[in-house]
Amino acid sequence: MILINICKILLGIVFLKSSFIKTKKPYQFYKALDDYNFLKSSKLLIGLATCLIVLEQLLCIFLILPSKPIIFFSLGLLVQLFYVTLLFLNIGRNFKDNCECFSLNAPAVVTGKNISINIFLLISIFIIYGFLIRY
Amino acid sequence: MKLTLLILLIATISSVYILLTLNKSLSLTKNVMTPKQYLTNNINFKGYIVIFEKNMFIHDFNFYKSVFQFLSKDSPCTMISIDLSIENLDNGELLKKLDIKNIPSIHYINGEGISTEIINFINIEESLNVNQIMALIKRKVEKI
Repeated sequence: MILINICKILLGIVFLKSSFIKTKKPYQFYKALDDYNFLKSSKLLIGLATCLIVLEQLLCIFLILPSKPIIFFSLGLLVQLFYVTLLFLNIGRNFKDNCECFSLNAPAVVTGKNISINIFLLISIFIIYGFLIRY
Repeated sequence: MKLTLLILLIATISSVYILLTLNKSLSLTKNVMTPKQYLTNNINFKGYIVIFEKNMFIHDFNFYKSVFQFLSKDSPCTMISIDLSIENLDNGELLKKLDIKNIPSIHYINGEGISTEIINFINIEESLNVNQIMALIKRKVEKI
């Protein structure tokens, strides 16, 4: 259980750092997503960028507050699956309109390393919160 | 129940804040012109122009946002984005017309179309942070 709590804190730090940068630079995050060119409507993209930032903030809050792990589990899987799919679809591509500040989720050059890190986070959420839900 | 409400409240406040910031930033980018747009639409422009390289805009967006917000309080302000990676006659014409020697820089254009360089960011010490650079810009603007 101690190991699970340590992993929870580490995961929390990763999400906290990521959401903090995105909250500070929402326009740059929007442009990075826009550059990936998967949504044509700019209004939808504004909504999606906002939603992703807020979801990451909520993930951090769920790590601090004693809440039902199933909520974090669902949100975490949703967010990570989205990023993994997005990166898979753009592997090897180089993006110009990218400030290179979101190396975790929206990098300027999508490499196998970026996808591996996101898959690692996905598996970590699955193991940690799967364990908490079960026991 | 209380916890759910608290989380919902935080999510709502955060969404509103991000949406507002994002929309404000997007409306600010509407003030960014290409040299061609500036030469066509701003014949008798009087005010500040902030000129920068297109590739650097996204990297320094928050800084240019602060500069624009500060300068537009005092006088009209326009931002010009120059793409130096391609050869373009408009780039040369703009640089010659406004007597721009350094990019990125801030210039003041008076009613007669004469340009005065307020500050260029090439000569600024790298050790200065954004607040210190803003203070420097404020001092230079006050002198004009």
